[in-house]
Amino acid sequence: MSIQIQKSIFNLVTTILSIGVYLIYVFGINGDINISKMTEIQFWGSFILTMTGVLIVAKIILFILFAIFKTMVSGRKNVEDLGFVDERDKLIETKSGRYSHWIAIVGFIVSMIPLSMGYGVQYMFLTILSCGFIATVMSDVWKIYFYSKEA
Amino acid sequence: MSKDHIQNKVRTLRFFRDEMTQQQLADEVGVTRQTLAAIESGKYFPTLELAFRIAKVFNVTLDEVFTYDSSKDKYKKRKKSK
Repeated sequence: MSIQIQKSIFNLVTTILSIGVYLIYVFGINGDINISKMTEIQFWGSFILTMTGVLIVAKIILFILFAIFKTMVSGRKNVEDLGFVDERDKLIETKSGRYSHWIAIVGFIVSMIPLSMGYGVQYMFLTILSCGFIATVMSDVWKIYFYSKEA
Repeated sequence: MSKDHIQNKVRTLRFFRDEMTQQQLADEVGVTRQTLAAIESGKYFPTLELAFRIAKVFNVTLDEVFTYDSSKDKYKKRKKSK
């Protein structure tokens, strides 16, 4: 398995895990407090900002652990440059990014439907966040597909 | 879309270069081994810059590495505006 596919799988798994853990923390452990606040825009503002920060920090820490793991497995001399990207990597990044952006844009437009029908603001944010999550996951799935099938 | 209108002789050129490995050539031209494997198998067409770099490594011209068959190239010509 190539390093690019390994990185994509790693990204996919860490995204699902990080968001999953954050959702369990917000709506599971602190569910008593937060679920009643779901109708407030202020809650969603702080939810998204905190989630962005948590995801960035979690990704950095997990990537460092991944790099350490790769060095330990393959040895210091044989370790591949994890940050190296060539023109094909950039092309695949662009392709998968373009497709996932479409999901995010469609998600944003779809999120306007509950708002226009008079439903609570939480449905709009839930739709946006769900589509954002699907877009992020699909970006990595497409990368895995492009790396294994074509360019 | 069929991509058989552009062929390459990278594998042959590597063979005549003392069985140069894909990794060695990839390092020389600044790409990953996977990218070079994709080029050799015709799954990926390199940029002109990378194509020139590959040709330079083997000290040959570009058309000795990549060949183009226009009869197999199915592309739509742009209509001339009146």
